Amino acid sequence: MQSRTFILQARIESDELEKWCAEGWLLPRESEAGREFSDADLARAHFIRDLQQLGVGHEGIPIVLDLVDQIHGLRRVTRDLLEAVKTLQQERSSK
Amino acid sequence: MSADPYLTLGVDKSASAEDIQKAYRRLAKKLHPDLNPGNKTTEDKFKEVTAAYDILGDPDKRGKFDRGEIDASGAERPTHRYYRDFSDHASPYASDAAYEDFGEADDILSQMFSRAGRSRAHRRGGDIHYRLELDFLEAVNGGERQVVLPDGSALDVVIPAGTREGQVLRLRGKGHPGVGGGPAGDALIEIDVRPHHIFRRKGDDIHLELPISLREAVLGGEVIVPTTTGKVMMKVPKWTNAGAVLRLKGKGARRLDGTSGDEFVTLKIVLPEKPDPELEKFVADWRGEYSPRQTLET
Repeated sequence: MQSRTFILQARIESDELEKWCAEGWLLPRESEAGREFSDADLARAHFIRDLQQLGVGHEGIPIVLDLVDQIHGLRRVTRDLLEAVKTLQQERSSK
Repeated sequence: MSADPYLTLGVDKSASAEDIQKAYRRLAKKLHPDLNPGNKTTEDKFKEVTAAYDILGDPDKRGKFDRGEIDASGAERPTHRYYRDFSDHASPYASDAAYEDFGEADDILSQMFSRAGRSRAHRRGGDIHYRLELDFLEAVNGGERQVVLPDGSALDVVIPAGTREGQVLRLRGKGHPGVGGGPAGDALIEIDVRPHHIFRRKGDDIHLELPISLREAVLGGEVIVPTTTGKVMMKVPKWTNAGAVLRLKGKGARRLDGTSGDEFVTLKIVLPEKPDPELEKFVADWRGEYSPRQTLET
């Protein structure tokens, strides 16, 4: 979606959106037509807003976002590992 | 959903606004779905807590609820998808930083570990660090400098007035370019300030020592005082003793809010360079007595 729709759905001001993009908290796709925001960007914007309402300050937001992204990576890898282990166990028990 | 928002937040009906906010934040931090990516049951509880705070956190709504004009079901927020639902998607936010150090190139497992690499659609470029040495006056008064980058190109840097030793100036977008269309990183410039031969900076104030003559100290007079922005005239009061400090308001370094610190001028009485026979005779004949070392005697 374009910036205008994004601002409405995320319920933030356009100058706030500028700040968040400049800080690298949001990484929309940039093209000649402007910025393209994904549903993931929208969910991330809601999360940033929620963190602010929880009292997380400006300096804390990128720290939290980065740690959460690392956790998502770990969950994906852990899930893959568990799948692989399960497969191995099944193969072993069927021998 | 609980009909009593006070019960949901665990506060008294007489709780202050501050107590309510504290209670909400304490619960919300524990229950927020994005802070609990593995817990599927937390979302409903979180919605309940948020709905309760929507009423009790708003003085108007709280009043209406207390008077029975609205009920707890009035506070439904439009739902949105939480960020944790997108953790599986390919995204520029994907991070392998938590497990980068596991696995070796030939491992089967490393194929799994490097999956994040394929989804790195676009990301922000890295920051570049520089050091810049400024003259004392350049830092205090501000200015413009050109920094030459390793690749030969030049970067124009605005030095804000009042820049301090150790301060880091951030130039957005002047770092490494982004990957796949992502934004560029920043240039971070750490400032070193060369000392000045007469001015000293302490916080936002400028300090200096000003020599004055015997006549100026005894009889008073007007003296020219250097400041970081040029010379000013100051009145030395009659009978000024050594160590007296004169204060020039606003002649210090600029602060972020636009105000400035002050300049403190410590006066130092200095005798003429070469011994003066007339002065010597006068002092020898002088019958005044005083004990400057009184305070040292124990």
